Amino acid sequence: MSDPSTTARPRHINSGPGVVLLVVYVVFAISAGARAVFQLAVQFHVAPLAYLLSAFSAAVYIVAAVAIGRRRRLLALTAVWIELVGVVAIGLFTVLAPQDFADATVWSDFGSGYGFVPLILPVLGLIWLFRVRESDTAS
Amino acid sequence: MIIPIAWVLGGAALAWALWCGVSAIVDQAPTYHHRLALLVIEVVALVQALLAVVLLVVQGGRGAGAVAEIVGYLIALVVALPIGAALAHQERTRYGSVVLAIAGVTLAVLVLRTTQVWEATRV
Repeated sequence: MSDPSTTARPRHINSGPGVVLLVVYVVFAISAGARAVFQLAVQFHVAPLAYLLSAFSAAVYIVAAVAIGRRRRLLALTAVWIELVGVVAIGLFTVLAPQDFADATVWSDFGSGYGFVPLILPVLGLIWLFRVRESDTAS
Repeated sequence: MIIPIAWVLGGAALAWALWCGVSAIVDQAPTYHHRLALLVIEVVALVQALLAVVLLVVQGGRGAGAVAEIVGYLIALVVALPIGAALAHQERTRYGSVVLAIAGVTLAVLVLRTTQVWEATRV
């Protein structure tokens, strides 16, 4: 506690910058999860496609958070790749064909409703997961 | 929600997040004082959540969906800092301070959203 040195420590995917990544994934796992449960339970009939996508994105965030927290690097990589493809695909789709989405999801308009964090997060996640490859093989 | 408490809570969460952020910038791990402030803010969050639940019960009138949404937000409001503290606990580097700063900003956003929903569903 008295020595806040940031260098020369064994690096795991859930330590150092990884713990920052982890806390953001936990926040998104909880918020996307709660949002999905609420939408599916209370207003499913309004926009089934958007709400199923909300549930899917929530599941991806939950898997990513658990994988990073438990140092499952390959699982984390898989989830983060799916997340990146998802946010780009849904982002493009909502921009090009907005009439097909009756309500917003976390990934609509590239996550603009969440300060574009959903778009930036998987990029940072991939950079981090590739950078720690050498020093962490736990899976 | 007790609006004055919401202002105090949101403001305190942001100020504390800023402090943690500055600590991270100057390469400082979370200290005893960061944690002490966290504890104080958490007590305010608990008081706010408790009073909000009491108001929900006493006032009545809101629909089941609105009550569920508000209670969900109140739970998030109460667990935000403890989750941040737990994640930062093992990380005795500047990144621990970053984690606390994110928890503080998250709490402030939650207070804002809860208050918005509270006002929008007011009866």
